[in-house]
Amino acid sequence: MYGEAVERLIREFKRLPGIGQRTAERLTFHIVQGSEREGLALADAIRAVKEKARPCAECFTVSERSPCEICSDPRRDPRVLCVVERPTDVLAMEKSGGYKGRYHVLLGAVNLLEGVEPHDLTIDALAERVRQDDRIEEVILATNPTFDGDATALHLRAALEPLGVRMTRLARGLPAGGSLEFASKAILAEALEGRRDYQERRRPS
Amino acid sequence: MPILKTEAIVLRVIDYSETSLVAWSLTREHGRLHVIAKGARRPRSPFEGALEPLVRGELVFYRKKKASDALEIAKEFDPIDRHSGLRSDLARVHRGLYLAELALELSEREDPAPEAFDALARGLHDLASGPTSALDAALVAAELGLLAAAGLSPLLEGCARCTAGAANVSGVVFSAAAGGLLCDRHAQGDPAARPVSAGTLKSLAALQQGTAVALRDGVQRDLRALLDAFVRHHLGKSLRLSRYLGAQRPVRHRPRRSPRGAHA
Repeated sequence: MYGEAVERLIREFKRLPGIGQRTAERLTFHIVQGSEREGLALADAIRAVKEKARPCAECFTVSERSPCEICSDPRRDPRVLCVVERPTDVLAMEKSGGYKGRYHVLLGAVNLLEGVEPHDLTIDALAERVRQDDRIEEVILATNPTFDGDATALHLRAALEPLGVRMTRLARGLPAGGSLEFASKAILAEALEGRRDYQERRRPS
Repeated sequence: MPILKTEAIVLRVIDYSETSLVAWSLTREHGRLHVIAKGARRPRSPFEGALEPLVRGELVFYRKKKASDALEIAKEFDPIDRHSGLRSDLARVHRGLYLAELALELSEREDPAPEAFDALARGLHDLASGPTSALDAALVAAELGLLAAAGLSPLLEGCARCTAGAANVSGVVFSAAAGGLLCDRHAQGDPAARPVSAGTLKSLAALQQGTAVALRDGVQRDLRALLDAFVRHHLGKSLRLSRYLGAQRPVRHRPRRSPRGAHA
């Protein structure tokens, strides 16, 4: 109806996650009606990403360099390795500003009912990395606090336990700034389960 | 659209969009129920982050008037039992997921399933809170319950092919194709017939009747092979999780390059 080029762009947009026919049409007509410069800049950006962005050979996050900026930064603490499910989780952790170690990206989570098995992820590469790099003292299992994330953490534990490295799991429970009154049953139950000692730490005089 | 409330055990969940999920669950009144939970992936949603596999809870949903293949719209899900203990080790996770997969295969939409629901609920409870040594017995008991609810109980008294009573069955040959034990005459003509030890048969019969038994390693392996063949025959395929029900594969241990802390 609109011509082959327009129909093709609608089809391509529809292949993206979360985009249906109407959104694909809206995006397409935004580009059709916008300036040539804007449209071609988008096409160039997509081409550049596909040509340059690669998984880092060490941590598997997306980067234009391998090793990536974080893996090759000498200021990052080599003793701590944070294991996350996706490259976007690295971004989230970096935004927190509270973590100075390195990362390992699994590229997904184990979901056996959907056919995603442990060997589909980078768990073997992680075990090999920990085995080879004797500077790593702690591995933080920062998979999502979901059923799949917990199952993935169990697979990680099985793979890393024989290597004798210290493993920790991100705390879960009440959000900072929240209140008990509005917390869900699940969050409260997890906060109770993960409660910590609160004695005053006495410093040596 | 009427609003209904039912107890449900979540069997499978997939992401539908940035914020929504589609969940398959088993209910007593409605059999297998397929719902879309809009906004369930947001941190503050009425689903409390509980719409996850193997969680038992109270589901409130809008009933569509027609179109049995359409998704019902979930409004709330209030967890009754999250079976947190299931997430403590892989053996429990895999056995719980196996039961969920079996329930998905055996249940039908809009076909009330009170017996299957109760068998699954009891099995998940036992897997979450029972001792490690009793996990396989809990799994087999729940599996037999789900099969029985679907009309697929293995026949353990008399021959499954003829009217020969228990007296004429030696009790040592089982056929998945026939659905149970075979008399000596029919055992000879059945390529699917396999010998079963007296101990395995005794444990199977006890678990089928709801009696708790401790399974020795050899019996557990035999039972697993027998039930895998039985399920494979009736479903026409192997369940994905069946490969994960054996002993956890030991992780090959290669030492690290040097003792920890040896670096400068």
